[in-house]
Amino acid sequence: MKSRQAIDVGGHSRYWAGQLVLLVPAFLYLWLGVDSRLLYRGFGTVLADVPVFSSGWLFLRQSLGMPGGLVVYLSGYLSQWYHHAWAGALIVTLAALLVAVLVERHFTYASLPRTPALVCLPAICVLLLVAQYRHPLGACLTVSLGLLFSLAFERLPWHRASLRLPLYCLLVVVGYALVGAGGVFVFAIMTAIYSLFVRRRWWPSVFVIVASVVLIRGLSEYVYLLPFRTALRVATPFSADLTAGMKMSSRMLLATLYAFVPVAVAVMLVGKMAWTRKETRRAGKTRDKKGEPRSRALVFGRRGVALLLPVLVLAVGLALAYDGPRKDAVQINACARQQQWSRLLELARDLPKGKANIACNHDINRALYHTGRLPYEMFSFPQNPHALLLTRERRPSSLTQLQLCELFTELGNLNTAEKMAGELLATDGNLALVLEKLAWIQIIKGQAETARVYLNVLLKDPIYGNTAREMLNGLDRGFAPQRAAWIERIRSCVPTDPYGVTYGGSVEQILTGLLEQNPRNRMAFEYLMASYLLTRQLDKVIANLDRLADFDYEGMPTYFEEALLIWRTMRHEPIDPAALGISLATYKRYQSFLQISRSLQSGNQQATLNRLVREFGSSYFFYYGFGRVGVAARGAAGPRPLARAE
Amino acid sequence: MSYARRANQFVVVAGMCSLVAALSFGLVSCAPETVEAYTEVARDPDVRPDFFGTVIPANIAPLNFQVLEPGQAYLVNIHAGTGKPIAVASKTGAVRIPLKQWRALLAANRGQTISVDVFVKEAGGGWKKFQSLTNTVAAEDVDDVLVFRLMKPIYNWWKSIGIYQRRLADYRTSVVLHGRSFGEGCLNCHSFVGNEPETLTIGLRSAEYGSSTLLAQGNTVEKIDSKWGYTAWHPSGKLAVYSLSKVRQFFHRGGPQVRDVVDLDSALACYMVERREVVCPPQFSDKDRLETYPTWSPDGKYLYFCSGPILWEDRDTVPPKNYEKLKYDLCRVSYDVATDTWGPVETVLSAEQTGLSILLPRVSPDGRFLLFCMCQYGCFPIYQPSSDLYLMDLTAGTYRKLAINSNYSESWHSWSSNSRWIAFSSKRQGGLFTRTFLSYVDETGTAHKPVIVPQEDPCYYDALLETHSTPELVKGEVKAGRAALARTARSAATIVAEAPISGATPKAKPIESWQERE
Repeated sequence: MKSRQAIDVGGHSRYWAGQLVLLVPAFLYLWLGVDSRLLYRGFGTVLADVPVFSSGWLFLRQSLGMPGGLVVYLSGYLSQWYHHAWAGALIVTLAALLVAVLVERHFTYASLPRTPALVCLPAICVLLLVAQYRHPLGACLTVSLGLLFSLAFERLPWHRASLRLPLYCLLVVVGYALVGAGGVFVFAIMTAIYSLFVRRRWWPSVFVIVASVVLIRGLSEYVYLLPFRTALRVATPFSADLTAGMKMSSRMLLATLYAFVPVAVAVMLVGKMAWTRKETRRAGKTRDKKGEPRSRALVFGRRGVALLLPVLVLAVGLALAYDGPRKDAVQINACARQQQWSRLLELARDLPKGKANIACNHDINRALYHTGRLPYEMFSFPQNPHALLLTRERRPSSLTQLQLCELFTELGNLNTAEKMAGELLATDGNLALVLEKLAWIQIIKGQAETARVYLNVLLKDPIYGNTAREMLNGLDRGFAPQRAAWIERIRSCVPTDPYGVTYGGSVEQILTGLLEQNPRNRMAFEYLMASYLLTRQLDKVIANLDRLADFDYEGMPTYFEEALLIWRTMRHEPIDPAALGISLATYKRYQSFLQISRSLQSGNQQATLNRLVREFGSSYFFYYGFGRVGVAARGAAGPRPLARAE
Repeated sequence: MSYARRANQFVVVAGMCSLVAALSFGLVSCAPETVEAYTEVARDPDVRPDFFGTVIPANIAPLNFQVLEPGQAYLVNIHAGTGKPIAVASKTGAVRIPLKQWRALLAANRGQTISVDVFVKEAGGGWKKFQSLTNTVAAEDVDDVLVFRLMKPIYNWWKSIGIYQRRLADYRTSVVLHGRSFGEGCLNCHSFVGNEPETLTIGLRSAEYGSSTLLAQGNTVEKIDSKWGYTAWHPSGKLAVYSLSKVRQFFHRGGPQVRDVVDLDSALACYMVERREVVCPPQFSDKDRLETYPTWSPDGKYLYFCSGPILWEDRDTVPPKNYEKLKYDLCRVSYDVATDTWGPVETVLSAEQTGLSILLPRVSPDGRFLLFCMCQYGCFPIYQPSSDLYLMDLTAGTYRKLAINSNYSESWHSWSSNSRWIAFSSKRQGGLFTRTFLSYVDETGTAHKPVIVPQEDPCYYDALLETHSTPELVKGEVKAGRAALARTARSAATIVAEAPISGATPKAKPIESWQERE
């Protein structure tokens, strides 16, 4: 007995050592590599998931009033902590640990080998999903609670079906309320498997599956008033809420998280039964051979491999699942949402030059405007005419709506900004970021009482509560001078005609309309000019150069100079740089560009093109000539591929 | 489990119970029922919501409020000529009045005045008493239930819209039908026969289940295969007149109101319940005019509605030309239910006379008054800050603007069955969020200061992002079960009642599924 206990203790130590070997590096990777703050900033934008949370009984009551309410509430609360990188990493690691522990318990209950690589597989799925900047916390909790219900049910001391089955039904009702259909199905399938393979009784297996579906049907019909199909999908991998925006690889990981334990336990139990039968038959025919004693080194070696295998699986998974473009998008998004413009441009300079993402590009242009570099550096980055005002999508995504809300607020197109944010709120829930935007919009509009309603809701947000308090203080006692100036600047740009209808869909209509309202709206001017430059409408660029007088530029911005030079050349008009207000440096560069361009007709065309990319890739000369940006990476020696937007 | 461990657990549980009991006793005993020594402050206390200085129904839920005066502790004494006074102590200023005592006090003081004394304990320990707040308890009750729509302010897209019912005597609120029951669909224009909750229609629109109308009569719910707009049931319940509209939403670039709505074309149709067919009498389906907002006189002899000229040729452009010049007249047409005959159209009040667009007429159940709203232009008062409530005395033919209006939109009013109360929507709290207010209308047609529908949490409205719109007062809870309504909303239509194609049929292109209005 004593030696058995010692063996168990040894097994437990190895088990926990295995968990630590996997989870400590995973925690460090999540903390320092993934950075959950990027996820937090991505909620409702680059991440379709919006884990809303609000302190107080009302939100708790509302959450618990829907199927899977407990998971929604818990995951909503825990997700707020993603705002701190270490806390986010810890939460995800603990969630992964919880799954791993429950998997181990199930394997133990079913007397199956607790191979660390197998036990940790669902946890690895969770870690990989987070590393791909997805948000599987809700799914992880759902699966965990489903497994927990199953374990609790299996460990009940009563074995009579007349007691167990009504209790099962009660647990399904409670489980559906707390964890949704996803958790109930995990519970039901595990119960069916244990009934079939452990207790060797088939009819309770059928009963639990049928009873679960029937109970969900009843609950959907009479309690939650949901269509049955919707009720069946709550918190399952088939729910659109859970899988929105996911690539196939992420969906596979999510499906593995849900299906692994039931499938693994069922397969191994079947295998075990077949093996036992075979062994029994063989034992009857031949004498049992004693195994040769294993060497200590071999035992340690095997244990070491078993311990390190999950880490190896995780490492390989991370290498395979790494999604560079997504990380870039998430990082750029986080910077833009926090208005860290210089940091955003730093990141943008390191983006791969062969590809561009319209949402990123939109944020880059905004960063360029805020750092005063739009008419000087916009062609240093991949460009797409749709990026300026995100004109590609017919029905804007949440990210587009938020980006446009921010941009239109700064432009003074306040009613459209309010519409964008209002729609986000109506469709995605009370996302703190959106509440803050709406409060600012109402403050700018002078609707303090409405702003207070948004701020009172924001007060209940664990992270944004302080922001709300500061804004309420501002409303009571006045805002800081810098903020007050910002409010006044936007007010001066807001259209005043109450009968005027929102500007048409074209970028030009919107921006010229705003300039009519306030000719000194610098952002509208720069975006209008950027739009003309991108669409190569030189006549309009030139026609609007007179507006420069309304602003305090030190000389003509570089890209306007370049556009003017091209325009005059095309019209065969003489060029006098001094008279035109063009700097000598720009004029010389233009001559050099023309000279090199002419040699494209003869000689080594690729070499000439490479030289143009290297020397003029970020100029408007190049963009106008080739219809694309030809930027080289910062500090790169050789030419890079031409950049074209996706 | 060992006995020692069980004993420990017992000790812990007993200790916690004692602590809770002691704390409760302490809190209760700390709260004084009266304050003997205080200094008087010669002004009203700052409270929110402002429930006082008006007439309230005897069957209203406790008017819980928040005292906004700074202080260490608060005591509120509610007393009247008869009945036991109520004392409410609070540490935070939130005053939650006990339901039973409140009901008893109000019931004992119908037609009398109740007073509310607010005492605030200052930092120094002394108490101050503000001027008493008073209310008159009306002799007439308000109807028991308010049916309303709850949703966030929506533009093009939405997710969660529901029709709810609220018992006004307490705070119990339950869902009648929610959009999530039929694929996050939209639902609106709930309408009853008079103030009776037996018969109800609700217009539905869903990408998954199509557009339709639910018709609930008692516990029976049926689905009509077309969506009804604003609906008015004849008092006999034999027919319902509803609007058919080609509605478009658009947005303003400037001004306080972002959203606006225009009916490019509209007409009224009539559903005959027994025959299960739709007719379009030419009186209110003129091809050159826009007819909308039907309502019946309580005797069922007149159908009132609003009618405006179509000012545009192009019925595709949104908004159409001159949309801001469109003004509706108030018209009526007589009807004989015995012979099913309609009389000629009479103009009751023209936009030319008022200079404003006349919308949403509702006749009081006693037939004495006609309550309507007027705004600068168009057909959708909730999006018009200029919209105000007006009352017409149908016996004298005169009308006047009510004193209960604000600088923001007032609209969507409903009479109580005894004609003494109105519930209406107002955006007076900031201009964006619609809230429901109740106002007492006396025999002379004077509407008294409105009060917001009270909530259990006095700060409920301070952090409510949803709008309470289209309030309808009814005598009891909706008879049809919510499960039956939800199930029928997902089922196939059982009543096929297509509107006959006539010259009056709206000619504008069908609306896109996302077009919606509040």
